[in-house]
Amino acid sequence: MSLLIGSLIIGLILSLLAMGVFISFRIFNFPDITVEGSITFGAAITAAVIQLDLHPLLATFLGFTGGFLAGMTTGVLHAKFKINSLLAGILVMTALYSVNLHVMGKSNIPLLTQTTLFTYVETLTRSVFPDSETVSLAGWNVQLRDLMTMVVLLIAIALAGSILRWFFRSHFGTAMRATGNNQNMIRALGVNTDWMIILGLGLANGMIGLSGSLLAQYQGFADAQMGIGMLVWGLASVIIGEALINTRSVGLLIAGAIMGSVFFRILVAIALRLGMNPNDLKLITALFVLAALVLPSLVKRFNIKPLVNDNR
Amino acid sequence: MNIKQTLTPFRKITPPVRALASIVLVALILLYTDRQNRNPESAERKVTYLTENIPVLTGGVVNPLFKTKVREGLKNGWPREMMKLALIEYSDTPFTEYTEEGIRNGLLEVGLTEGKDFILEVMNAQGDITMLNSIVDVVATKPYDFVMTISTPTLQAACRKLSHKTVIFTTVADPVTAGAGKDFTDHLPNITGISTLSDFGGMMRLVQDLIPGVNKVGTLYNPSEVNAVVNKESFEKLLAPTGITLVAVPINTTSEIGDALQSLIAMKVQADCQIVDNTTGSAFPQIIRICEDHRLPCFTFDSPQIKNGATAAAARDYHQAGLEGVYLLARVITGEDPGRIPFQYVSKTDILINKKAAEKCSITIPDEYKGFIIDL
Repeated sequence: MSLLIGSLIIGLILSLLAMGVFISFRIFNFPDITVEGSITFGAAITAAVIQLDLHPLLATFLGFTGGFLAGMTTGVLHAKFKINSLLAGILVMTALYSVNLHVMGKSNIPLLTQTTLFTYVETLTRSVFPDSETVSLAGWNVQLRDLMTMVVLLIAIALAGSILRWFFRSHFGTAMRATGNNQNMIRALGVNTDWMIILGLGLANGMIGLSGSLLAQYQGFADAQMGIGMLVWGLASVIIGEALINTRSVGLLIAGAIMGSVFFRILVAIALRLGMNPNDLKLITALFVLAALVLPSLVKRFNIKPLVNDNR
Repeated sequence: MNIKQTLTPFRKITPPVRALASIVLVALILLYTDRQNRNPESAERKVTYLTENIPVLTGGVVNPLFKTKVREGLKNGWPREMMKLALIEYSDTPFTEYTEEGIRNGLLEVGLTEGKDFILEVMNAQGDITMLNSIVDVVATKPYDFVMTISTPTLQAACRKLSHKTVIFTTVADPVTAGAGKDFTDHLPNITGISTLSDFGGMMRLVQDLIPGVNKVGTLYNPSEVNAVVNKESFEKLLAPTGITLVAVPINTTSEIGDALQSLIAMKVQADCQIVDNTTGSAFPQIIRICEDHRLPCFTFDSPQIKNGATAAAARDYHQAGLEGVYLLARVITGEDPGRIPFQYVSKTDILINKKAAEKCSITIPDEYKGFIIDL
């Protein structure tokens, strides 16, 4: 059970990453590689600020801001200087590696003894349940601390998802989505598409930075190399989420990204729990994402109509 | 039977419900795989910690008395057929491989046979931090008796999540900075291990022996990296009483290396003893090339740089780090309290001398170093 809760927690933290990747890849149709730099940037800023004994909430917010700025940089490179989208992402990602080292001052900052957001969750747990540390859930002993962390994260992520849904259904957000769909059309309506791309990538990488910030606080350290492989996780979550949800409504797709991330973490945990060699996991991951990509079209071949109507 | 008809009932379910149902389904599968941990009989293992210390090594080999103690410990403290050992690695690097090899050899040396006395399960996160978290979660729920970790991030993840298991780490540069304790003796009660911080003393002796009468050596370092500053200051402090001055030139990016080295050469240093940091580490071949051009001996703490043309190295031996990690593990098996075993530096340093590079700098290699010469 604690294994399930552990995977849920990581899945929820990484669902912010999935939402960010969803914004850049799906809404803007922009293959944004900044991800691997911005997630570390968020973590690095948070760790550095927490080390200065400032409030973790501020540190988390600054992590978000850092990611936002990184994303905006990629956006400016692409929209204003007409640099190819992949190249713009690569440039910022590469630059962020050095920036991260400077922000942290070394390659790794431990947060094991510092006050982080999760310390507050622990304090909260202790004030709600002062008597016990573990609880028996259907026979499994579960740490109350972990359970509470999961619940708090679930609420926070649901909130973030709702805000994102609200945003993308507002006038501004709709214009943003239209920028990804048909730039000429929306430009004809008087929208500045350059700024839409810049702000959109900022928002996407802000979410990713937030994800990195929470991840660093949860695992107890920030490391200069923690961005490696994150893009694949995020993309896989988005694709699996789409396969799970199978709709085009933006709100549901955001929910799908969250669910995809959680679903994916649980699958990884099952594979590891069954004793699969972690060296093979990347291969399995690739096969799994392939399945998520191919299955919907296979289903279509059997002439099964869409399960519900689009309700955009 | 028509597949369309069969699926009809499912088509009425709305997508979010279906997606949630799939998540619940996989969650139930995960819980099923984890069913052994259900209703755990409160098996409070009574461990009586020993107070007497048996020396692990006598004359370079493992003490036979210690071997019998390990066997007894295995029988008494951990009464199961085989000891289950987890080894968590962060990435596939040569250091990791050397350490793993050392661990396997170490287990043999203390008299344990794989498949008979213990099962070793190696898990490598392949440099992926989320995978590392998942691996540590799984290790926490599986019945491993001991967990060994290689590298700093694995140790940190273990500190956070494996407080109920005994963890032995190796190949961690500085466990105190990593957060595993206040100092080498006052540390987390379930954790002990081997630190592989640079061997400044070994480097000092190597420089003194290869360049007789040396009084001025230089290094480049990146002042924005804390590890670089720590390394520089420790080396400086150690050299001071011997009358050797360390000239440290700060650089911020790899592009400044050329100019910084020129200024070192202008200050007439007799060798470049390059301390370890990320900036110089990523451009080491460039440092070597410039040193070569000016016939300045280049000493390194990182043995692979010898292949790139560095003159001599005094590097930590990662195989030995694995070996000594196992000695600590064996001490815990005999009944010692891991909380009272101080962290240790790995005892052995690899000395390597590149013959060609040394000749170029007109260094005569003393006889006692003949065994360390590598001819490339």
